[in-house]
Amino acid sequence: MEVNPYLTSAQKSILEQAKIGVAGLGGLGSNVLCHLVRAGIRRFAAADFDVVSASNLNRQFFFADQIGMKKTEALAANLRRISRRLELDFHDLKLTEENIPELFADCDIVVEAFDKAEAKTMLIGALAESGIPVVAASGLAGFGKSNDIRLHQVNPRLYITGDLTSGISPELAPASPRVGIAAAMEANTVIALLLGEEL
Amino acid sequence: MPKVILNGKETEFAEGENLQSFLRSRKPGVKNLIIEWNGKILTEKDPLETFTLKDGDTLNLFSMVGGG
Repeated sequence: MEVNPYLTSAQKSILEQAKIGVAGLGGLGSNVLCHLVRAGIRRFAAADFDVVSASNLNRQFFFADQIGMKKTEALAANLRRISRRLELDFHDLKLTEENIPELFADCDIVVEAFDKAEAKTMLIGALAESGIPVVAASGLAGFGKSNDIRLHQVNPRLYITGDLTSGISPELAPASPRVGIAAAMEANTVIALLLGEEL
Repeated sequence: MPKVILNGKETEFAEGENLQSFLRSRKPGVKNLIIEWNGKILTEKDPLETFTLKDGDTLNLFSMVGGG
């Protein structure tokens, strides 16, 4: 059974052969993967060292009965409930400058889906010379200001979604709608790049 | 005075100025920048003091902030 029956055979072929990397399985990564699986992509590499906690449920694609599970295991289970034809190369580890190039070496595009700003720049720097396009996110905390979340094309190999200013702080928490907009924009950018659609 | 196009705006710099000193004077205290310099992607971990600006360079700065 195909998860997305609305593709042309050419689109289906491209999406089924693609392999997408996802760095971090939190609010961005879990929702990006949900979108990409529903679109018809089957092959992924991803990493996160964390476990599901109660505070994740305000925005991340996990469920209350998964609290305490490794995110890699919980998300793999959730994605397989959408599609049974997935190849999930998921790693329960902390991504570093050293292991990022190797872990994502065979990916067509890598999605930056970290929480911390330092980790975001670290991933972009680690893949800058690789030639692999990166789709990142910056500035998505709080509520409202939907139209401030945009896609910024930095160069043909780097795209950043977000408003570039709304960082998390004690006064500004991440919430499902804006994190979801940024995640959906990341996923939509990945699909557009693969299919050669207008960004 | 030579100029770079900084985020779309002509901005003057001192002859021979390097990227590190330019960023420190124009963006003091700003961390986690993604720096696009003539199409090349750089971060603060790159040896920015070794890159000398030239008249007409394009420079686009993107601030990475936390949240995800």
